Amino acid sequence: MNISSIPDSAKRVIESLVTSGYPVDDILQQLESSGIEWYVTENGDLMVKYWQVGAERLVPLEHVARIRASQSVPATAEPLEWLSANLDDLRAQYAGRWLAIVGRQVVASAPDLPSLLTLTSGLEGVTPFITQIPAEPISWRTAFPNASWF
Amino acid sequence: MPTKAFEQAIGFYQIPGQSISLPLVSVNLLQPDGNRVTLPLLFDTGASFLTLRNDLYPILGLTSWDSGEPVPVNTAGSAAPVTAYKYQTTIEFLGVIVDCPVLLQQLPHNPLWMGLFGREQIFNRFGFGFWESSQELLITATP
Repeated sequence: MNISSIPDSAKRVIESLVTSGYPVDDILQQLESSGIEWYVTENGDLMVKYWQVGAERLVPLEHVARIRASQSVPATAEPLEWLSANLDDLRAQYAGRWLAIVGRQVVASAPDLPSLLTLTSGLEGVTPFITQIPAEPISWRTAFPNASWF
Repeated sequence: MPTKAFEQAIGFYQIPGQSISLPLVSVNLLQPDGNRVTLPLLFDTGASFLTLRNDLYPILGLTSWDSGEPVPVNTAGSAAPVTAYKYQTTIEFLGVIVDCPVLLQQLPHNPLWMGLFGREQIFNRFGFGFWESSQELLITATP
């Protein structure tokens, strides 16, 4: 792996992982968790993709939201992005149920968390994203105005 | 003027149909049985501890949510402290594995956040910044 052209901060993360002694599969999974895209060559070299600023302030702020809405997101954020974007449909279909999401797909649902964990324990090589779809109305505010909510 | 470098920028999440944006992060939790799950958490500098909804206790390998060390905690909007229960867990965030305390507490049910990403033994492993005008949470795993 040639990491000479990677920024120092990302380089330290990668170096700490590849020298950690972890199994290769764990290292690759942790790279993904860090939002670092990787590729293994036929020779077994680990190639990584990183971001750097190409042009500061290129996009006017009034256009940022439109452009960001059309772009792909890091793999680790994908279930949350997908959940947020499809919440109305998911509430209609899964109200009151616990969900396991992988990528952009519900891979398991159950009426309670222990049942869901049993279903997901057989999933190999993926880390399911866990949430519960409330049956009751959702409160989005986070400064709670009264203690009765607890 | 100090300069800080961040490797990650996580956009706030716009709630559909609401004029609300939330700084949410996806955090891996390593279960006692070796399995991992990802939980969405609300980034909360006001939370002393990583705090999860009380009904997530099976993920910690517990048989009930209120068997740990009782901890009185103050919550916004509540005059009296409520009781949370403290345990130990292991999380993974941005490739960094952290052993940290976790509180189980009764929290409002929300599908986009299952708990609070709080400070104790976590924030000192990272560097964080807010860019409110672009609604981004900036993070470095190498502060």
